[in-house]
This record gives sequence, structure tokens and C-alpha cells, in this order.
Amino acid sequence: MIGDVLGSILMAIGAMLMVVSALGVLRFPGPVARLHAATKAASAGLALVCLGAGLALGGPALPLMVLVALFQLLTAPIAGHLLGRAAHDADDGAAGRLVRDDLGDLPRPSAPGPSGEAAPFPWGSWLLLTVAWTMLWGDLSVGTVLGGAAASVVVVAVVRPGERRIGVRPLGLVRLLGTFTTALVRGTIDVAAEVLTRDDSGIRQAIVRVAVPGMSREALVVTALAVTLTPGSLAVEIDVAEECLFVHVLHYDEDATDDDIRLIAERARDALGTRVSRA
Amino acid sequence: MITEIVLAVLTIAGAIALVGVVRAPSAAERMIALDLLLLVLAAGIAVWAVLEQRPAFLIVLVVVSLVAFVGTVVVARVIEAREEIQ
Repeated sequence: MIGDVLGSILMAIGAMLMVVSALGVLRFPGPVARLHAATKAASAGLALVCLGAGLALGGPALPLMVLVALFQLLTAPIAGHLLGRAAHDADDGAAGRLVRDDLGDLPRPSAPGPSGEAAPFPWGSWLLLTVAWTMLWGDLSVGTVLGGAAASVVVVAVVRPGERRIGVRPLGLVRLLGTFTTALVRGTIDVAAEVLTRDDSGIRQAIVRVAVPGMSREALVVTALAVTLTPGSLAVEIDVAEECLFVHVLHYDEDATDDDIRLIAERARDALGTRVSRA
Repeated sequence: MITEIVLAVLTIAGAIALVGVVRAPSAAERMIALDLLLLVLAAGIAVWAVLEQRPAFLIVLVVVSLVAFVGTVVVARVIEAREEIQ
């Protein structure tokens, strides 16, 4: 019963977020600005609808829907980042819309190889695959888990993910999630208000170069994903060698923008220092 | 009752996204709107499964969200490749 009520509320909020997102895609000026509306509000909307449906249906549907929601929140920033750089490069009108453009015509940075030594067996990937398998089946029986573990060994052997040893700090991770959730909620409300009131005066698009020194490659990527999932900012380019991110922002503010992004970056660095960088 | 209303709201979102697909001025903007349409479709399937009380529908949703991601990545690469040729 509680599940039904909570599920309905989540589904209703999610559906409304999707309408807001669709209006934003129709109204925002330029492809990258539209991407802002599509990647965040719609993904958050789908995640909420999925969780709501999982709660309302119960049983094996719940873990399956949690899996879909997590998958969406992980893939949306990746797709947004890729499409963001491509759309910016292909957009002839970009210069006229941006108040500041640090990226300009810079060529794509080369991606250096991963840091640290390769793990002998990618336990992390194997564990994630096994958990995903179990959630897809929605059933925690010995047979399912063992079947998933066996299938994951095959996948890991074929794909050979180049997993590196990453040191995760639990407390740092919690703080990263906290910062991130706050930014997500605040930004979503801002964008929704903008779309609904049809007030474009607050939109000042810019691409800002944010230096994030002292980060491992992995922490830099996590930072880029968190920044992209945060409404109002989208990491269009990651330069590992120069230790900086190029972030497209919807509401450029000379004083605040850099600090906001750097805060997320610092939290990511606290959460994911690699063993190599800590030594 | 609420489930029906949610489905109606999602239909509106889908209709707006469809307008976005048709009126998009560039390939990138069309892809953005199309991706959004797929996400709305996925959400619609979830709500429909609740309405009909049929969890079996949900596996379709898994496929749709996978296809939406792969499709977006592929189109992003196509747009990039086109830029390089020019």
C-alpha cells in the first residue's frame, strides 16, 4: 500500500520532469543548451518513473527498475559529453551565443594511457556484472548468483577490462554524493522555473576551462560525469594531460561558476584518490 | 487513476519531443530530441506495466534504454566524423 502511494508520487514527479525537459529541448537556444535540458531533467525523470513503477509493482520488478535507473544515470552524462563536444564543433552559430569560450578551436586532446598497474583479475568489474545479473533476474537464489558469477567470468575473460586499482574512501564518497545531490536538486528547480516562466534572460552560455590539478585519470572522469549530470553544467572536453575540464555552463557567472565546479572536483578527488597518486 | 494521469502527462511530453524532432535545425538537435523521445517511451512502458499489472513488460524497457544510449553515442561519432571530412 505504502509502495503504491510512494510509487505514484515518484511516477508523477518523473513524468512532470519529462515534460519540463521536452519544453526545454524545444525552447533553449543552440544544441548544447538543449542538451542541458535533455540529459539531466529527462534522465532524472526516467529514474524517478522507474523507481516509482518498481515500488508500485514490487517483487522482482523493483531490483530490475533500480538497475535501469542507475544505468540511465550513468550513461546519460557519457552520451551527453560525447554529443556535447560533437554538437559544439558542428555548431556554426556557437560563437554568437557564448559569452565566453575557452575551448574555441582547440584540437581534441590526446588521451594518455591509464595510470597505475593493471590488476591481475578485474574483481570490481566481475562483482558489478554479477550484481547486475542478479538484479536483472530479480531473484537472490544460489542458482542465480552462481550462474551470474560464472557468466561474469566469461565476459571478463573475453572483454578484458583494463581495470586499475582505485582507492575509494567511503566518507569522501558520501560527501561527493551529498554535494552532487544538492547541486542536482537546486539546478533542476532552476531550469524548470526557467522553462516554465519562458524567461530566457538568465541564460548566459559559456565554455569555461576549469583547472583540476592533482587528480588521477579515474577521478577526473568521475568529476566530468558528476559535472555533466548536474543541471546547468556540461563537461564538453576532458584534458587529462593538462589536468583541466572544459565545462559548458548555462548560467555563466564570473564569480561563482569556477568555484561551483571546483567544489565538485575536490569532492571527487577526496572520494577517489588512486593508490598511486596517494603514495 | 493517478497512473492514467501520469500516462497522459507522458504522452504530452512525447508529443512535445516529437515536435522537437521535426523542427530541429541540425542533426545534433534532432538526435537530442529523438533521445528524449526514447526516454519518454521507456518511462511510458514502465507506467503501462503498472497500469496493466504486468511486470513482464519491463524487460522491453531495459532494451529501449540500452538502444537509446548506443544510438546517441553512434550519432555523436557520425557528427564528429562528418566534421573531420569537411
